[in-house]
Amino acid sequence: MQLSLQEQGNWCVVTVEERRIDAAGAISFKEAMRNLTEGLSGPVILDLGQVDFVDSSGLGAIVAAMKTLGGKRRLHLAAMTPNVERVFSLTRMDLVFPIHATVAAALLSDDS
Amino acid sequence: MIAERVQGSAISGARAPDVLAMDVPVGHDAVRVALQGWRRWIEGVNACSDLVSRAEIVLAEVLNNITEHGFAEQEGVLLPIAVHCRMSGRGLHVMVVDKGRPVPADRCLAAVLPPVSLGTQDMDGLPEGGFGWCLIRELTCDLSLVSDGSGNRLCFVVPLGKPGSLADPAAPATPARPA
Repeated sequence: MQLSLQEQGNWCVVTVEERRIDAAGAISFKEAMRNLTEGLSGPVILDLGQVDFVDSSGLGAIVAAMKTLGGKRRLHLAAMTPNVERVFSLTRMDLVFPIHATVAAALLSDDS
Repeated sequence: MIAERVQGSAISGARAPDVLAMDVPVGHDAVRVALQGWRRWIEGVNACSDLVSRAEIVLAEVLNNITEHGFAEQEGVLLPIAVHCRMSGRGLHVMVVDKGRPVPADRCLAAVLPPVSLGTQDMDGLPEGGFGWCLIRELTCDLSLVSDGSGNRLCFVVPLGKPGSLADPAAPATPARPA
């Protein structure tokens, strides 16, 4: 799973450079997220702009990634494509994450 | 490898084959490859992109469920899952047959979303799974699942329009007419 990390001020911006987070890639996504974000501090923005497909395993992996960050660091989601947004809203997981239209909007948000 | 058999339409002289039969090997990677083949087919039958997106979610959930819970083995070889798709004026009709362990049909068809405690900091309690059957139910109509000693047969339609709302599992599959 190809992820990239950029530190912007207090934030870690993780960009998913894949089109799918699915059952075949869920474990690798979780590992890649852990490897990128451990040792750093501050909230994380997950840029999903390139992802056009997330299934329930991928959704579970994103929830797991948030838990791995621990209670003090939040995982924000940004730039969700319509089909990915649909999976979050149908499962009500859109109520669990702070969701932003763009990474820029997430960076301007209040992480509280 | 997918053994993909594309049959012609029942109506001879039809512009595009509107029926797809494919055997999907068991495994998450194989499911991903199979979905790529399925996409090539459905993009050729004039399906709207919204239906394609909804149907891909459902097929992924169904096939990955079988991969995780219900696969069958014969003499050490995993038996493939048979998928049959047909486009009609109502939507995409799908039948998925596997020869794996019988699944608890009543429980699957009545699945509800795992509870989410909102407004708390209790992240450990958030569900990481249990979404699959709810997504299937939410995005389909005419869902039926028959399990017997020889395997499971799941049938459903991914409608052209959006099926009933998640908020009300008993909502009709097609939007009700305004009163």
